[in-house]
Amino acid sequence: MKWFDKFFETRTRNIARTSSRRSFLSNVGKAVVGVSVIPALPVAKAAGGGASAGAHYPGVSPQPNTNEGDPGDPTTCEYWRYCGIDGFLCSCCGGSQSACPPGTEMSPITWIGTCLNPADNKHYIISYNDCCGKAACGRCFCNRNEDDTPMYRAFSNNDTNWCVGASSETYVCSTAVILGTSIES
Amino acid sequence: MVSKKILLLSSLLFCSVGHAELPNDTVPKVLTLPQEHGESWLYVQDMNFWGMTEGKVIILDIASASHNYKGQVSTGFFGSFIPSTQRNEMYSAETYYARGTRGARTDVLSIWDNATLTVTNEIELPHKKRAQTVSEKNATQLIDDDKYLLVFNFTPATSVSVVDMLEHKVLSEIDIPGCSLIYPSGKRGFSTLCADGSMLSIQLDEKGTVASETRVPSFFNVDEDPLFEKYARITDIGYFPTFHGYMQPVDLSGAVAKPLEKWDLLTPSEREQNWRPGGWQIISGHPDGQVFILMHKDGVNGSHKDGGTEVWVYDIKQHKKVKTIPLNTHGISLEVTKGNKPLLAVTNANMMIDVYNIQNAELQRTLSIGGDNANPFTLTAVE
Repeated sequence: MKWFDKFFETRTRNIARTSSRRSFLSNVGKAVVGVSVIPALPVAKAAGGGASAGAHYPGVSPQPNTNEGDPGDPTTCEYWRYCGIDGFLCSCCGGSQSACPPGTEMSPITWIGTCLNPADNKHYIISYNDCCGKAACGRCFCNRNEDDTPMYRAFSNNDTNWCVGASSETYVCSTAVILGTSIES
Repeated sequence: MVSKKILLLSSLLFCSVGHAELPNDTVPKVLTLPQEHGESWLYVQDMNFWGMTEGKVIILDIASASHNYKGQVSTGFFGSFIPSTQRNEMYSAETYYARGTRGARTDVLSIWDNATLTVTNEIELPHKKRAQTVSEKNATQLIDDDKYLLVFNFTPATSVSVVDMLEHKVLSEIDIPGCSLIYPSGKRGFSTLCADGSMLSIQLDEKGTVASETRVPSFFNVDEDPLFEKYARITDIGYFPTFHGYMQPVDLSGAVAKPLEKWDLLTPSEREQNWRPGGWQIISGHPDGQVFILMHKDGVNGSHKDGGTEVWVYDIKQHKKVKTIPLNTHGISLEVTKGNKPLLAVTNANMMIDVYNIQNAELQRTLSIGGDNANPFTLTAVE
């Protein structure tokens, strides 16, 4: 990630020089926006995984989670359920970690991952349902790419638009819905 | 001081005498391009993730000192693009909703004229199943000297639509259960990569229906070291790098794909440093027998799309690295032009196109395709 540090510095300097009102992270997000669709490139990682633990996106108000069993802030990329997510966080877009924003449609077809809940040390099956039918949200781009496989193994691939199956496949944001605990637990 | 004023005055007078008054410009006036695009031209696909319904392909001359930006074609929502090598046309499979993000869906194959960059014909894709993925060359392919065009469908059931490009009509839809993407094979067919590490090879008859279908047994382990779905193709051998730095060649010249012997891209010390291929379009080939691969050090699970700091050039006959091109800016995708004086184009982390001289590994120029919002992940050289 050394290259990314350099990229970050350059961008920060440029932003300062041009008095741009856009945040660095928003620029990074723009560089590699996605869906379930976004290629997990370093820039993307930086927007999420590259930030310090629990870091908040500029211009996005924190949403402290009061449920001790479901720890973390769902408007941060580090929130435990997002271990396989790739896209804009619905929690930042008028929805929540398990609900779509008003007026969108939750895609019935998803890709599925398993994430460890640090509160009870159990592995949960997480379904990354995308929300569809409007323009891309554009806030809180988050990408984690572990165990992502190429397109020929589609159900663990994040380069595919998982709004497939919705009445309009235009991608808005992604949720992380609990389906149950996994056998690993 | 006075003498300086006189000098200035006389030079102004001289200028006004030396130049004729400019004529009026003609309005309207729209430029055109040559029917044949140059060998240093590059098609740069911008998925425009920030406004996904308005994707485009920009045409750049990456060798030219000026006027690099030649024009663009619009490719809609998750467009999939391929230029013809037989006719002066380009094709893009596109999806539209009647009201932008909603309304009735229409999938079309647009036929673009090389010179005017206008749509000369449009073939509706009635199945409305076109796969929508990050721009992927192997989702739309031409076979049989460009007589047929194949479009990959994903619902998530997978299939391929066959389009007759001479008659401009859709002929058929072929199911390819458990498999994805299109790698032209044999005279009139294709192979497709499957989730269990096998391939399915299909030949078509002239009506676009299946003439033969052969399952190539599993030849790689998707869990341990998957092939990238991107490949370089040189004289009908497909070169597929693996996540962990091996090269899996597959002979695609015949009706049935034939995996060839795998070879190691890394020396023991490079393997110790965990060099791996990574990025989006991670490999490109030149007909002279070289493949160019985007590489990064300290690879881990999940770094396969991280891009790279260097481009490694391999001789495909010797199975050996013959050159290293360190990148000025981190690279995400690459493409090599196919002529006698090939250039290396690299999409850099700032979303611009860096052009390298392959001989001396020096950066020649950096080209913008439209600012911070661009996502030029897929590059296609003129063949």
